[in-house]
Amino acid sequence: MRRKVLSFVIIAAIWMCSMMACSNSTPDENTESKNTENGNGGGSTDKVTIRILTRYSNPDNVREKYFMDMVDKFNEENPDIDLQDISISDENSRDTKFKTSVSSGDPIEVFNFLGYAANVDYVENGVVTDLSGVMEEDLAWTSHYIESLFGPVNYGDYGIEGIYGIPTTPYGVCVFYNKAIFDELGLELPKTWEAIEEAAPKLIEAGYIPMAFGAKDNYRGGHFLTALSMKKYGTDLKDALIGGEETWNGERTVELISYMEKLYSDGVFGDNQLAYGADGELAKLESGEAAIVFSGSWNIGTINTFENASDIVCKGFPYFNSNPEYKDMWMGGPDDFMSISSKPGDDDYEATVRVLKFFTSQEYWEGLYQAQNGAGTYPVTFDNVIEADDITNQFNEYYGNAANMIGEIEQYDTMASLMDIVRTELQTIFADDDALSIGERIQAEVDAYKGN
Amino acid sequence: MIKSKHFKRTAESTLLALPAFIIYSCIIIYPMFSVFHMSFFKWNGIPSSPMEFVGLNNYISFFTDAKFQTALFNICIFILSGFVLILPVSFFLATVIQSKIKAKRFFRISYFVPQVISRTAIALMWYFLLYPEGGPVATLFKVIGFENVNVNFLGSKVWAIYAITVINAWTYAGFNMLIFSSGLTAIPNEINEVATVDGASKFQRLRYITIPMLKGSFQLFILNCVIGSITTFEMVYATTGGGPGSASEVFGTLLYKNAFTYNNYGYSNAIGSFLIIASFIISLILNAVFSRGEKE
Repeated sequence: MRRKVLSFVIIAAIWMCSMMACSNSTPDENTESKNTENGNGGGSTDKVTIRILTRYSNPDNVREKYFMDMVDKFNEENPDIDLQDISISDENSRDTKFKTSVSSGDPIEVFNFLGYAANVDYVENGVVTDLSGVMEEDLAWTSHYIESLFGPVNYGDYGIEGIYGIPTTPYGVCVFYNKAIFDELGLELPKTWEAIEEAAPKLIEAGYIPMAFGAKDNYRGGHFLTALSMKKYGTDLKDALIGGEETWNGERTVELISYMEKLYSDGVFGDNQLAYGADGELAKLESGEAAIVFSGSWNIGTINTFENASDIVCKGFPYFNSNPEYKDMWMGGPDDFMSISSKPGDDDYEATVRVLKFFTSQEYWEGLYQAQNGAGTYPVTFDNVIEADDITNQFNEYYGNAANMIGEIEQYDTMASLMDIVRTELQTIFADDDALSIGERIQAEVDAYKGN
Repeated sequence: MIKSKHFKRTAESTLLALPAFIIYSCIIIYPMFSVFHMSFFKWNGIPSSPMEFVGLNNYISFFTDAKFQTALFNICIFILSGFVLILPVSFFLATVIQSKIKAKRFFRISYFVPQVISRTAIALMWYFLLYPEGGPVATLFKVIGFENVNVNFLGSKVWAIYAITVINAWTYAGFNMLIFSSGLTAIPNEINEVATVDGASKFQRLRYITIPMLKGSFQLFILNCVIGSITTFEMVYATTGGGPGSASEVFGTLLYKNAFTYNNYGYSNAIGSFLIIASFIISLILNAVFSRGEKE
């Protein structure tokens, strides 16, 4: 009898523990809890928890440090909101975090959204919230924004009305020269690819890397190809590739990849490109190893902190003597957008919009403008202009004359994987792969995608 | 009466085991079937987006993809490196820590340290060790007269996977050292003493006593090595990301990229299903082989 009672008690205890363990909320219940009185899973009845995901997590970068400080400021000024900064610098890691949150049914409330056709799925399926209503209710909020920057988050071509993000920092791909090296060798700053090819042997002989290329970060190849395409063909090749009139193993694309190969084999990019990334490029510019670095406006603030900043000159991405008509064609535009997933009617919607407005307000940008002493680019215009540093002025001199500007070519395709495929395949240039094989592998992936 | 008692005991045992089985089902069995189920659909990972039934298309695409062959080759390299690098090194280390050497505890801890370091930290450490411009390995090559050798191993389509297997061997030698060490501890000293008295040499004792009596340890090592190689991910992702190009891709990195970069969840679940089934079949085969050996 005792044994029976003991067995019953043990079984009951185990069952109770099991049921308690299995009663944790599922992702569906997490989504529903957004509509509870307490908001999104917040432990406290007083605060609404809002998560923000960006790439700004490096305190050594002026722009990113400013963002992190503003998160603290927001939390101080808004005691009813617990703003959790879950930002991460690496682009792939940031994207993985976002996609995981979406797949689990608990999308992050405020996030960097890349826009363009490649991300239309998130708009079509209601992950990203239309902001046009909020913008119309508060016209002053976006009154200083540069209107053309909203293009990549306007999905009218796909039959979807609305605006799905607020532009953050616009960018332009440009080059930075270490003028001291060119002065030392008695060379002019080469503005064309022909001039760079001519100067390269002299730079190599003197022990310098003509143009550092950090291919370990695969986006460097993607940026370079698009920038080169704009200088060689304008927007024509991009339109043809996206429209399907041209293939990635077609003559013009293979010609561009072959040109990158030629620069690599001629030593223009130095050695061991796969051993370092974009940070390595900047390090080589700062240390005086590299004569030129092709980069973008997002690094102007960092370069201004270099000891040899006074030797650095910024110019537009080199053009071709043979194609002067495309001299002012740029790779650039809005870097990314601040978007939200909370919908009107959700209990955390009001708090989410407050966070969004705070980080996209004119005050936010003016604060960054001050923090960077007028350096860099902004999605808004300022009434009080700060005398910018030399590098920013040099950049703006070219940027302001841009005839046209596009983002990376693959962003205009609805095939979400195309960007990573192109960037990864271009990396193999530096592993001695040939241009035609690279083009064929990219096209094979495109064909497989369209065939499914 | 006896049947009634037996039934009661069975019922009690079942009821006691049932909660654990339910938890196991929730955590392991249900997700496995969910992966398997989703592998027959095309889905972009957005809950509100419809899942399109595509039958075996994901599996066909996977097995006909050139990257599948690359990943399979790389997995074979991993398995081979387990037998060529990890097995002899960890066995040797096990004999060292079982010997009468002084500071045995220091060696045991030192060899095991890589196991407690995060894989990302290990990858970063080896990235700097293998850095082709001024890194320790590159400098060593220069010093010993191989200045013209391209030491950018992680940036080479040919050598990247081999470099990763060396890093992997460095990481796991300590763990396997413990497996062999516990096996060596279980061998009664008397057997070796008797063999010594009978005139057996060290090599003969190793071959005819130690190795046969370590069969269980070898079985465990082989199982860990093969299954671990098939499912490897962190070391490859943290060092090369599967590159340059797709040169060092393994099934784990393909699964990750298709899910989180390409939004191709059905396809990545097909890869996951393949890994589960392959691991299960290989476990069955290895266990059968070792069991047959025992019977003989």
